[in-house]
Amino acid sequence: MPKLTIDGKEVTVEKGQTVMNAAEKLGIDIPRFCYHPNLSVAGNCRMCLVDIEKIPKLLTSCTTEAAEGMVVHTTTDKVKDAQRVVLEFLLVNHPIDCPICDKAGECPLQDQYYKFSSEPSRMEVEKTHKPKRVDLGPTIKLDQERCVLCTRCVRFLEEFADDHSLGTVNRGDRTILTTFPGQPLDNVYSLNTVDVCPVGALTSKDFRFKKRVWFLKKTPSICTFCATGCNINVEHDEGHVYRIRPRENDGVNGPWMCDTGRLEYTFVNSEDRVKCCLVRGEDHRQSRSGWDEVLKRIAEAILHAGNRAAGIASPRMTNESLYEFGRFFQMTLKSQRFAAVTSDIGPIEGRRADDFLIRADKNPNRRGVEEILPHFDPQGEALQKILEAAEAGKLPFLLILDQDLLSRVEDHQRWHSALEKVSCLVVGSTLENELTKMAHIVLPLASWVEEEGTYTRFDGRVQRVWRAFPARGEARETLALFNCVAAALGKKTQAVRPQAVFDELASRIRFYGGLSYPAIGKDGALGAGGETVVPRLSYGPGSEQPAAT
Amino acid sequence: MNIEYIAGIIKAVTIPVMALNSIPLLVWMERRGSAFIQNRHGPNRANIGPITLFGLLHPFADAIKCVFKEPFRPTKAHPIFYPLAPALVVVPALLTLAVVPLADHIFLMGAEIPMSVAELEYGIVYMFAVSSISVLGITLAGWASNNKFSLMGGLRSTAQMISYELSLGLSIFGALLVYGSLNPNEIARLQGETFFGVIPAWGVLMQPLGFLLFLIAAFAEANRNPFDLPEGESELVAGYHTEYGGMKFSMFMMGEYVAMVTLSALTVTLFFGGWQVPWVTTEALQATVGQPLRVLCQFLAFAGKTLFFCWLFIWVRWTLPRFRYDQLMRLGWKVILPLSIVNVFVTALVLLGLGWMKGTL
Amino acid sequence: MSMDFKEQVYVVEIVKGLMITIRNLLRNMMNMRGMPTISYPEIMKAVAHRYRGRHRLTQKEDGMLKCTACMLCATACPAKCIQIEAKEGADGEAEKYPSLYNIDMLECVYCGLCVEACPCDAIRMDTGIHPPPADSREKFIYRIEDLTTYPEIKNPRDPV
Repeated sequence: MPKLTIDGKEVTVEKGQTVMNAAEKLGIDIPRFCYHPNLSVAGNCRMCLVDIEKIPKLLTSCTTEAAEGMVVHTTTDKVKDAQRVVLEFLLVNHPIDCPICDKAGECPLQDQYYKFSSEPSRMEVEKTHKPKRVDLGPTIKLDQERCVLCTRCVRFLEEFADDHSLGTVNRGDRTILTTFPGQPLDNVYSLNTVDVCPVGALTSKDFRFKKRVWFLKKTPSICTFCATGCNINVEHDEGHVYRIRPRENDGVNGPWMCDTGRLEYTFVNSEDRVKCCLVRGEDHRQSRSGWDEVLKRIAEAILHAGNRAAGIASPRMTNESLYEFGRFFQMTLKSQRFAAVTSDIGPIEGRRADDFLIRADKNPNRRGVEEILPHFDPQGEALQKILEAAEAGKLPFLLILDQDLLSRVEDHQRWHSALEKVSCLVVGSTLENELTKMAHIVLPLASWVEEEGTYTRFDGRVQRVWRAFPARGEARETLALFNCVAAALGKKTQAVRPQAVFDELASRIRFYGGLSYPAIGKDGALGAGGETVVPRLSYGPGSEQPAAT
Repeated sequence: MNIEYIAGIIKAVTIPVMALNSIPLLVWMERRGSAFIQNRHGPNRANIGPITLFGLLHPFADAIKCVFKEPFRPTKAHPIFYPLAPALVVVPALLTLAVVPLADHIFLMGAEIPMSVAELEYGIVYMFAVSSISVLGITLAGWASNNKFSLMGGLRSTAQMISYELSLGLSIFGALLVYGSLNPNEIARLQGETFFGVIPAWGVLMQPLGFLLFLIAAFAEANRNPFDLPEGESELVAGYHTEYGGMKFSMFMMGEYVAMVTLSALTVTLFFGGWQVPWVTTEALQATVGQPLRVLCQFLAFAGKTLFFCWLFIWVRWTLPRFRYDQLMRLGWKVILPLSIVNVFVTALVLLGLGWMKGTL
Repeated sequence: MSMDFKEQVYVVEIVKGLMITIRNLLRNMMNMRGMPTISYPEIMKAVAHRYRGRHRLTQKEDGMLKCTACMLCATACPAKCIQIEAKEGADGEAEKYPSLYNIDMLECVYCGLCVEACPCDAIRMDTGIHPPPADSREKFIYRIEDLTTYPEIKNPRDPV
């Protein structure tokens, strides 16, 4: 346990930690480009130079191991000079095309230039020119002029994605970052390189030139495209999601996430959204309708069906919605016909799994279904009963809140024909698909970024999502749906707040006991008996060495 | 047919036409005059090809616009009185002009023909009788529009006109006493004399206070600034003619300008010698230049004087701010009216004294 | 403020006032050209050098817009009246250029912050054109075509 002094403050760190780590522990900001806490140390940018007493030259704090009795200075004139010089060097050939650079506004080079240098260029010769629009692969474009050759991206791909396609070639000011000829960077984690890039060299094709970053508002949420539940920030402006980036949480995903999760948001902005209620007429064509009218029809159908009314929930629904779903059928309708299909969604693109962040299970809240629905229906045989009743033509009312139901079930044909026999099929959905086409009534539902609630990760971690903006068009939140129907049935209702539902849920279901929204916070909290399952997220000192390159 | 009838018809047609034609001229004078007073150019754009006549075509363009506007009537306006009101304003103003002499009598084919439509022995009385009718038009307009603003404007206007009608009448009593006649032509003729051979014996010299009071009352009668209270954008919108548009509105406008002409003509006749060319009597003039030129000279003298007073109306409007309503009423009842009465008595006493002196000498 | 008798009688004061207005009238009638009012559309007042007129988008010599769609103008705009959509240029063209550049002249407050914000001298307000009238909301939205159409610049102004 070495004890050292940095800028007059003493700190004790574990053996093997660097001066940089020690300074971070003290909250001292040392500028850096190549150093990334989750990657191996390269020490090539020279930005983090510090002055250590009894050592004549400045040392890079990211590579220097903290030692007993070290006295470190980070703000001496010598250090400041060094920082200015390093920045001047980095900017010698940097194009400074910030106005068209997507990184501008969140660019460490920009920020640190203003913080540590702010001096005009003394260069009188032409900058070296390199290709500015290199197509690295399906997701990424590279601007070789902007690159400061910190190799964060190279290290990320090698250390986490086992991908050695990216590297630097040539020497001196002709050094460029590139792939092997004819081999594109085609990796499902490739967009993390854009995140780690300290300049605007690597840009996401999806986000490129769409929006300046300072317009974006960040709403914390979690990714719902597989059971991993990576923590994310939804970056949006005026009801339009522009990109999704990981939100650091060492209990789930660290600073990483997969490209699939990043790019799946497009459906939120999509034109295929169910924008308003649809009602199927006599001629089997669906026409637009209003909520009031539709709720009236649903209420009529439910009154007619009595306790034979059935419902199918989805493992994509929040815990709160699942709880309200169960309570609505059990308490309000006195029906025992409600269930959720938790099997995986059928073959969709990108359905794969690895030992890093992608899980085969694409349901973000399967654990929630497993914990909550048995509270209302301990037998758990309702699904089969619903199918049988439907097949026999004896199902007067079925509410499906699982838009992927048909791709989820194994005997797809059997379900398809059974659903056609339901007298009143109500489907709540975000997108128009095969199932909504079959429905008598389609209800527009909010997408997950438009909802508030919690999800239960497969390992038992309960994580919150926040509402980024109000639901599009006439879409309503799933949680509010049951209340609307109950009101249409003439029951006495009151507005439901997700937090209130969760508090009730936590008091009724043992798994969630003791949890509350403040306790969950942004990082999530484990339910009873849960145990964190995370892959290796960091490549710091102490972890195994990278494979030789 | 008798020459007198023919002349009568001709006069009955020409004089109102002349009065009506003076409206565009006055409108033009008002607009360009006010513009020049305020360092502006005023309307000078209306044109027929390159001809703009210094903006004189604007009133004609206005007239065309007003004629072709939709004759709109508010739903709850009175179906008969609403359209009738504008006519009640214009017609009396025109009728008043009937007794104003434009020149001295002419002798044609052995007949002596007066140069007014009708020479009445009690012409002045007729004038006051007829011109008072226009108050009815304004009251009616305010009431028949079925609009709060109109009604308030109409009420205000009525109160104002009735108040000043009194002073208007009283202020000329003195003059009438001096002249001893109610015949406008006779009054004009009486002013052809001179004092000491140099100063024309115009009514204004014999009745300076009477003239001043008459002028003030005339401004109030014509609803002109500083007494234009029936209108008022900030408090009454457009007053009694808020609900009027197109030609109906222009008739109110016309009424206002014709009233201006009439009151100017009356002022001239009563206080400025009417058709008298200064220092030259009808007989002397006729002997020098012959009858047609004599009539022309007298008419031009009359027209010039009248035009000056019309201009005075305009001039004052663009010089003075308006009175507040209470100030208006106080001025009318507490200043003008008592002064008029005093004027009548003083004139009467002076005349009595003069007569007494003459009688004793 | 109390008035003395002469003032209370009004008549003298009124005559004084009348003299002032008639003096004005005569002076202006004698010298119509010397009047401070000008006949506006025919005679234009010289536009001050610093006058902020309708915007224009400047072009490079090859006719392409100088604008790189960096959106600094939209960021600086206090009225949020500038709407830009960026597009990636083909090889040999500008890397980033605006495929859509709309200014809503109804919202614009003519503050000129966009001009100050522009790092590329791509937007200027030196056309000397007064805020233009139009008869529908759509016509107030000036697109790239409108912003690159302007009469000859009489008073060119270098960016700040």
